[in-house]
Parts: sequence; C-alpha cells; structure tokens
Amino acid sequence: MRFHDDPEEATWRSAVRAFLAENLSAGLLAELKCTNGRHGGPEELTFLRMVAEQGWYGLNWPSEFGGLEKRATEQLILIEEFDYAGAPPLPTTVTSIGPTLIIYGSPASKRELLPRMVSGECTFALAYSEPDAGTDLASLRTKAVRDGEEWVISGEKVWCSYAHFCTHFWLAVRTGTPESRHRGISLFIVPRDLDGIHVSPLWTWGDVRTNQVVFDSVRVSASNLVGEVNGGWECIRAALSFERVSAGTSGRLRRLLDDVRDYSERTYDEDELLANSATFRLQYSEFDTELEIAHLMGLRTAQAIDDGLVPQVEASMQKILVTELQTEISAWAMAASGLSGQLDKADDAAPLNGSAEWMFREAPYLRFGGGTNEIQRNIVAQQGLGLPR
Amino acid sequence: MKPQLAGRHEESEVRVGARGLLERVRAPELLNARPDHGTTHDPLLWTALAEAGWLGLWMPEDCGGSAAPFRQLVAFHQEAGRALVPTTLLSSTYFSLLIEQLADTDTRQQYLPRIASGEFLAAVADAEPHAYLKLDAYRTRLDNATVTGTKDFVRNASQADALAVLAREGASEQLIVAIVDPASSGVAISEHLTVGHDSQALVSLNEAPAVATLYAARSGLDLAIQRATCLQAAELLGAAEYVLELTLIHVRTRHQFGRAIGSFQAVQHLLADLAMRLDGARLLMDKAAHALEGGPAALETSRAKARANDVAHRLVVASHHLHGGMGYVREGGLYLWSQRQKAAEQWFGSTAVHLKKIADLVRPAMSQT
Repeated sequence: MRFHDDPEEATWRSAVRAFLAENLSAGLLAELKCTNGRHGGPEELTFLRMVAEQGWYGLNWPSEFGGLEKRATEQLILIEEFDYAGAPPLPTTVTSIGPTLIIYGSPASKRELLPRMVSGECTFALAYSEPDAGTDLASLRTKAVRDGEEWVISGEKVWCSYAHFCTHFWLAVRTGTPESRHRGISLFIVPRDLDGIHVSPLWTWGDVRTNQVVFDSVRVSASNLVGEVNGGWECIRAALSFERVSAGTSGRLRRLLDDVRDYSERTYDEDELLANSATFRLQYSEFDTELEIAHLMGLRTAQAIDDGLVPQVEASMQKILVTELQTEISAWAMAASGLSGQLDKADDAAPLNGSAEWMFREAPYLRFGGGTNEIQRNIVAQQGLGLPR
Repeated sequence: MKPQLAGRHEESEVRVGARGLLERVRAPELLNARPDHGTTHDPLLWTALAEAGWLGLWMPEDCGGSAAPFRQLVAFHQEAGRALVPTTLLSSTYFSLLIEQLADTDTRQQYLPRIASGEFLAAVADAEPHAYLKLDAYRTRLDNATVTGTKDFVRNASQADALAVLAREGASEQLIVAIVDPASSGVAISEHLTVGHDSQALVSLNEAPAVATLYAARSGLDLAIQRATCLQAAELLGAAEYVLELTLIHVRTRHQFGRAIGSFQAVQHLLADLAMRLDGARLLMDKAAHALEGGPAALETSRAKARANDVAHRLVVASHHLHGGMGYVREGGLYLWSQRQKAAEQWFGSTAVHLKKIADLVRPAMSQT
C-alpha cells in the first residue's frame, strides 16, 4: 500500500485545491450553511456547473463517454479535498448511477443520458426504499406491469433525496412475483415530468428535505429498463459498489477536528485554556488517531479498486467507523464548547460556525442510510470473518 | 420491559397522577404541530399544572403548597421530562428553591404563593460568558442596590416576571442573589437560537435596580443548586425512559426480513445494555433525591447528573438509529426529545464537569486509605 501521493496524484491534489480556492466563495458557503449542503440553491448550482465544466463529473468514466479516466485514488483526493473545504459533494448521478449505466444501460440510453450527466444537465434521485422496505430492500412492492411497448408503474417510495429538483428517477420496482424478493426486481429510468408522479416533502431533524414519491400508474417506455427484466438487483449492487469510494470518507470530520483544535487554542474555561485541559487533549488525540485510521482505510479501498479488486468488507468497516465517529466527535465538540455548544448553527455566535451542532443532527441518517451499520457488521462478520449466516 | 415507576409507593402515585394530566395536555402530535417545536412556554399547560397543585407541590403550606418531600418533586420532574414540559417549569422551580433557602419570611410570601398559583414566572441568571457553575468566578456586581454585569444563557429571561441574579456585593465581595425585574431599566435581553428550540438569552445588566437582595449562606446556595441539578437529571431520565419505551414499541412492530427487528440479537443487546445503564442512572438519582432531603449532597448529585447525561445521550443516539428514517423525519416527533436532551445535558453541568467534581470530592477519601 502506498501512503503518499505519487507525482500524478500530487499534481491533481494541487489542481483541486486551486479550483476550490478560486470557486468556493463565501456566498456559497453561506448558502450551504442554510441549505445543509444539497438543496439545489443558486450558488450551489453555479459551483457545480463549474465542476462539470472542468469535466470532473466524468472523472473516472471511460473517455468514450466523455470521461477523464482518472483512478479511484484521484477520485478520493477530490472527495477529501471537497469535503475538507466544505464544498458540495459530487452528485451520486455521476459517482454511482452513471458508471452503473455504462455497464448495464442500452446503447440508446447511454447515448441519450451519459453526455447529459457529464454536462450536469441530467440529475437523478434514487428511488429504492419504501415505507415497509428499508434495510430489507428485497421486500419492495412498487410494481411495474408490462403493457405492450410500455410498463405501468404504481407504488410509493420514501427517502428520495433530491426528488424535488432531479430530472430523473433511478427506480427499483417489482416485476416478479410478490415473493420473488431480489430475483424479481427491475431497474427503470423514469423522467420526473411524466404524468402520475407526485413528490411531497419529508423534513428531517437535520433540516434536510427528503421526499415521498407516489407513482400512480406512470407509463414509461420499455426502453427505459436498465439491464434485464428481473435483473435489477445486480444494478443496485453495482451502483452501491460505485459509492464505495465516496461513502465513508473522513474529510469533513478532519475539518471539524481541526476547527475544534483552533477553537480550543482561543477558548478559556474559566482560567484554563481549553487546549491545555488534560481531558480535552486525551479525547482530541483519540479522535485524531481514529480519523487517521479512517483516512488510511479510504486510501486502501481506493487503491484496491485501482488494482481491480472489490473491497467489500474493507468498505463496510470504513462506513461503520466514519459514520459512528461523526456522532462521537460532533457530540464531544458540542460538550467541549460548554453552554455555547447548544447554539443552533443559525445563531451567528455558534462555536465552530455551528458545524458540530449540525453534524450531530445529520449523523443519524449516515448511520442508518446506505445500508445500516448492522448490515455492514453482518458483511464484516460473514464475508470478512467467514462466520455462518 | 414495563415502564418502571419509582420504587417507593408515594413517588409512584406522584408519577401516575402527573402522567395522567400531562398525557392529556402534552401529546407528541400537539407538540409537533407548533412552530416552536412545542418547547417554549405553554400557558394552557401552566394553568392546568397550577390548578392541579403541581406548581406548589413541595412548597410550604403557608405559601400555598403541599409541603411534599423533595423526592416527590423529583418524581414529578421525571414526568415533566417525559412529557417535554417547557423549561419554564425548571426555571421557576430553581428560582423558588433559591428563595426558599435564602429569603426571609416576607420575601418568601411575596414570591412562592404566586409561583404556586401559576400567575408568576421566574428564572435564574446564573452563567456568565466566561464561567458557569463556578460561583467564585462570577463578576456581576451589586452596587447601591443596582446590578451590573453580563449573564449568558439565561433560560426564559424573556418570559420571566423576576430574575434571580447570582452576583457579588460591591464592598464586601460577598456572594448574593439579587432579584431583578427583567422589564426594568438597565436590562437588555438578546435571545439565542438553540438546538433545544427553547428560550435562552444573553442578559446585559447595566445598573438594573435590585428589588430584593438575598445574602447567600453558602450551604443554602449549594443545596438549592444541587436540588435543581437533581431535578434536571430527573427530567433527563424521565425523557430517556420515554425514548426507550418508544424504541421498544418500534422494534416490536417494525418488521424487516420477515421478523420484528427487535428479534435480532444486535438490537436486543444494544437495548439491554442501555436498559442496564438507565437503571443504574435511576438508582443514582434516587439516592441523590433521598440525600438532598436533608442537606447538600455534592457527590450524590454529581454522580446522578453525570450518568443521567450519559445514558440520555446514548439512548437518543440508539433510538434514532433503530427508528431509521421514521425517527429522522420530524413528523415522527422523536427529535423533540433528542434536541431537549442535548440542551439538558449542558444545563447544571456536562458529564465532564461532574466527573471532575467527583474526582475532587473523592480524592481526600482516597488519600486517607
């Protein structure tokens, strides 16, 4: 395993930093503070358009689809630098859905959609979960029934983040028998402007909007199917595996810890500088070490992907570590700030620019989303340690 | 697990009685429908509590109270925490505890009956920007019967009819409690936005007239603060019990992979550990409540608050996790308890503050052996 950037990676890191220095404006950071990072605000959209213009939406894609053919380690560098700086993340449309479409999409859908994904014109919302199918996704019930050259889709999806400003859904539906579980699921691309789609907001404790989406006899062309009929599970797994590099990176937490360190160097608890408090120092060092592990795990995962491996177990460990650290570090940072630690990020006097308070409220979603940490532990135990199911 | 009521019979009666009333007027769906997240003062609730005698529960009979022992007040505050009663309750009670310990008969007669009857709200201006719970470091001063200084994170200053300001008397440097009318000249109140969506403010006092001055005997001051700390622990634990109950209901009824998620060992072990921690924290709180009947009990109070903070935090985190998306959408209401927990954890001392106090208190005993 390499522990340092090679020359190409070092050049790339400088380019990413230079881009951020130029384009990550105070106005954008202020907007993101209000919208919590991903609400399609005007400054955010302008910034993302700049990212797309660099060609970075197709960072790891093959050149025949407009990609730059960068390595996973270079993607990791971009994500870590963006996260550390507080920039909006690359959309899952290009980190996860695009690469899956490249493998499973029909020639026509690739021709139509991939260039528009790279340009940023086309954005997707995942529509997987249902009220009764969350962790157990294979029990989903939204149905698609064939009718001539079309499919008719009916059902209810929840936790569809971005559904209120996306152009398309990446939709998992049941095409097999009700008991067919993962063998009877198909994947469709569904334009959001079709008749019969109803999007309504679900507001969360983290102040982030997600959505309920009802599909009421929505008719889509048979050409919108991705992969085979009843072959959707494979697409879902592939899309998840492409998320591995981006899930569980530690850039935002390193930034939080650095901010806490700076704060501790100018904050007194009565007459003692916080940075000199023995308990503070020990806990800080503990988190510093944990975040170094998280960073190294990310690096190992990316290098394994570049070596053609599928680092499933390692990625699961990383996801557990980073998401649980977010709860621990943000709660500790709030407590370390005393009574001021309870200030909402909307209060200008909030320490750390309110990031600890908000990241604490954001953390639950990271622990249960993207495959709950219990499912990740099952993967570590069963696939990693070979324990029986 | 059945919701466990406090061991002794009379406290159980208090809890059953209070719960009956609070369940009628503080249902989660009502809380969630309010734009302030149901966490600032609620006049209807206040009237109901006053009429049923809860606001004067522990006060002397000649002040309109029922003279109930302190542990019954603790039991009541467990129910208040469970029902997310606005922090005006603890603010007013903290004020009353100070009055009861430090004031003469006339001053007690002036405030306690009106607080018991619900017509008067009160708050305590305690923390300063540079210090909290460190009385010797406070800089706010009383000179010529006026108060000057800065108090921060004063709970319910905007709602209160009177503020008890912890300060120092100009000439003698003696610690005193000055009663100030927040509407009087020289008082400026600036509200914070807090994670708890409650009311906390920066209060600037510039020669604000003191309507009364209480000379603080240190033991009386300590007792009042420790009792208020124990009540905050009780609110945290009452809320934690409720969050555990909500979680148990959810994991029994939520099915994935063809079974209740509560049947998975990973879920059972997590909840069993939390139930054990909660039980332990409750025992510490009961012991502190018992000890505080008689006089100051610094060690018992710090242990109780440290563990109440700890288990309430862990329960909130676990409950959000096990509820998944259903606990994360505001519609579910779980966040109301989560955000109150984060505020209450800081109030009357964080875990670190109390662990440090415990170390300071037990070290002499350890060095003797």
